[in-house]
Amino acid sequence: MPTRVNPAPASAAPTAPPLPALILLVACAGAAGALLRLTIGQIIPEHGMKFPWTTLAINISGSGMLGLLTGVAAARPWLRRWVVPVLGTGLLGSYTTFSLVIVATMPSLPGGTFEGLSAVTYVSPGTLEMLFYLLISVIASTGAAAAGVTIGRALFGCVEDPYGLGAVAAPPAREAGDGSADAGGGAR
Amino acid sequence: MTTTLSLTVVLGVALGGAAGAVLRLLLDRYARFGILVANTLGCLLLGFLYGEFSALTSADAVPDNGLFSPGVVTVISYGLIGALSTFATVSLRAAQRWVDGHRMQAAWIWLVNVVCGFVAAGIGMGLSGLVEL
Repeated sequence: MPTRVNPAPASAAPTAPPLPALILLVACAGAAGALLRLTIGQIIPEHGMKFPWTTLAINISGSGMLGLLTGVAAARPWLRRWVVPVLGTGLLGSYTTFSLVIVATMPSLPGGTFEGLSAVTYVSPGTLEMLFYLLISVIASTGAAAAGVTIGRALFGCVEDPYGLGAVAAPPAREAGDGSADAGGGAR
Repeated sequence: MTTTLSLTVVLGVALGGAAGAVLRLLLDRYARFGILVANTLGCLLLGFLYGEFSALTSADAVPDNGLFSPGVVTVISYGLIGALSTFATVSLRAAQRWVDGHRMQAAWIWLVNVVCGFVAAGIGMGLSGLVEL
């Protein structure tokens, strides 16, 4: 299961922030994230590149920063109330993008689907090459997120909530025959 | 991007980014597999948009003021779709599973996101061939 969400993470803030205010802040942060991605795309244009390297850099840096934020929030749980949703979901979630990577990796359909496209005009990349691009994106971004979590935790000296899972403060009473499929931590 | 950015396009990207981020926040909070839904929806929309856009350009009929003018494509693809779909949250959750020892779950997260994205983008491109805009 890709996103297993615990209904009530043990270390969540006692009171949830009011949703309208959160939505307003996430909207502002989302706008900033999209503008940041647009600006970087203007500085290092992908037009004519064989692979969307700018998008790769954006996704790796965004994943690393989200990991860092999560690592810091593991040591400073009050951050989870406003800062993690606004900066994590809003800014960094909007800054990084998934759909462009997928559409850019799609094998070119007969008739030149990717001819003349704004951001994905490449010099006829092969399907295998594009799949390697996707693989590099996935592995490097996941590695950056893991490194960010580790660095964030180390900087702020968190010991009791490793990796910011938020639901592992108390050791789970795992039965002997309990499969690992049910042992996924909280998503946040 | 080859389009010169006008203030309207920049404001449009900001608005689209705001809408995409809020939609993703609500999906993540209130829908099961909300991030997966957001990413799949983004791939569907982007596949459709690129299909339509390339159909127009390949027919040598690039409208400079129409529905698929470069400015509109920039606003929708960079703003709304780019903000709706996300890479960082998926990376983080996969990384959390990985370092927690659940490596199959981490691989599974990425596999499901990527396969759903490919299928959705393919459907979007197929739809763009059927729908004339």
